[in-house]
This record gives sequence, C-alpha cells and structure tokens, in this order.
Amino acid sequence: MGAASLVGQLAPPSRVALIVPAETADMWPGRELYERVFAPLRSSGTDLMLLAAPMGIVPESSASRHPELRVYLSEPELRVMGVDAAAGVRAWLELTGRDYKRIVVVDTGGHGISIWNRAIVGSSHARRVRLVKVYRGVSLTSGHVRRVLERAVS
Amino acid sequence: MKVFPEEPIVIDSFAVARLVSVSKNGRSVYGTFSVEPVNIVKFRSCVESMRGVLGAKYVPVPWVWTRFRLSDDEDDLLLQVGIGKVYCKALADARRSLERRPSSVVSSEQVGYLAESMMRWVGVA
Repeated sequence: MGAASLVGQLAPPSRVALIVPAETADMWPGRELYERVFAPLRSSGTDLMLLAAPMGIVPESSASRHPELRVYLSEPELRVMGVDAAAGVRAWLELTGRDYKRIVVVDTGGHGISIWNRAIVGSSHARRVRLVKVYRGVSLTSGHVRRVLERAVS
Repeated sequence: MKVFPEEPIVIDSFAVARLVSVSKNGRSVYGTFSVEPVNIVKFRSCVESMRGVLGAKYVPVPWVWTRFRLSDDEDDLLLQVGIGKVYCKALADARRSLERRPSSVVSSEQVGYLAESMMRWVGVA
C-alpha cells in the first residue's frame, strides 16, 4: 500500500451525504420541486441520495438514470417493504457511513423518516446524522428551509 | 450460504420467477431464476422484445445487478440477480440487527422487486 493511499484512509472524512426521502412524485431528480430545492446543494463535497422503498439508499446518479426505481407503494406494501428499505439503509450506513463527516437527512414527516429511524437505531454512525425537519405547512421551497439545508451541508 | 428464498416469486400478472440455482464467484453471490409464463402470448412477446438486452447487465443501484439470458436450448428465459458479496453480508447483518431474522435470508420482496423493475425496464410489464 502506498503512502498516499494510507494517508487517504487515515484522513478524516470531508464529504457530506444529503438524503432526500422519495415520498412523492416530485421528490425525484429531474422533477421541478426536487431541482428547485436540492439542485443548488449539489457540490463537489456533497453527495445527494434518495431514500426509496424498497431499495433503501439510491444515489442520485442512479435515480436519474433509472426512473423506474421510483415506485409508489400502498400503505400495506410499505409496512412490508419498509422493512426491506430499512435493511438497505442500514447496509448502506455500515458500508459507507464512515466515508462521510455528516449525513444530513431531510425529514418531511412521511414514511421516509420512519424507515430512517428504524435503520439508524443502534448504529455507530448515528452521531454523524443531522436531521432537517420540514414542519407541516412549511414549504420546501421557502427561504427558511433553503438556509437550513445550506447550513446543514456546509 | 442461502441468499434467495426458495418459494416462487410472483411478478404481478405476468410471470413467476422460480429459483433454480444459487452460485457465487469472487465478487458476487447470484441466484438464477427461471421465468415461467402465466400468459403465453405475453411471454413470447416479452422474449422477443428482450433479445436486444439479453446478456446485458442492469445495475440499478450499486452492488446489485440483474441480467436475463436464454437457456442453452433457448426454451427458457432465465433471470439472474446478483448481489456483491460485501453488500450481501452488510444486508444480512442489517436484517439480523433490525429484525432478529436468520442472517442469511434476503426477502422475496426485494428479489421480486428487482425482477419487476427489470421487466419494467424492458417495457413489458
């Protein structure tokens, strides 16, 4: 192993993961709402990810390339597949969580945060997580939410 | 290591995927399913429409891929679902820690979903 790669492994992580729950049709790359809210946050230091049932975490690049991954599940389906999604999220955390200095999760109060909460319980990466709560009645496109998101990923 | 469920997986109103073998190489664990028609007309059109993508790997998310191929006698359509070993282990560990299920089982919904999304991708579902 070269000295440079060893230094790279020992260096503290500098990247941020921003996780967006894909709960509605608009919360997907290419859709107007998603692009308005999250596109300005794309940067070389931030990786955008979708939290989608039943897969778990889907990188934004995969979501853009494969729109068929956007599936709509009924409540009974979510009860079953939410478990799969939580396992997928947990697996992602264990494999890649250490690569991020911070994991920012957008909480819009839907099923996405239920899946996330189930996945994160007992994980050693929980201390890296920062929740951005979007309260009911507050628009995702509001200036307040934008500022909170910008601070969270900076 | 048992990775895929043994029971048939229903792909909504189209076909049944039945596990025929599980194997692994240095990087992936993969299951091969035979896709059995429940509607022969639809099945034939599906096979025809998929000739262009047979053998092509479909990688919707990191660590997971699917691929269709025809059996040697070209009578059967086979679906392979592969999971990278490192992800397979993390997924099994996650299920164990979240559900206290046996660590080596990946649910039928997950594999069924992968198969279903592949069907949608080739435009036949």
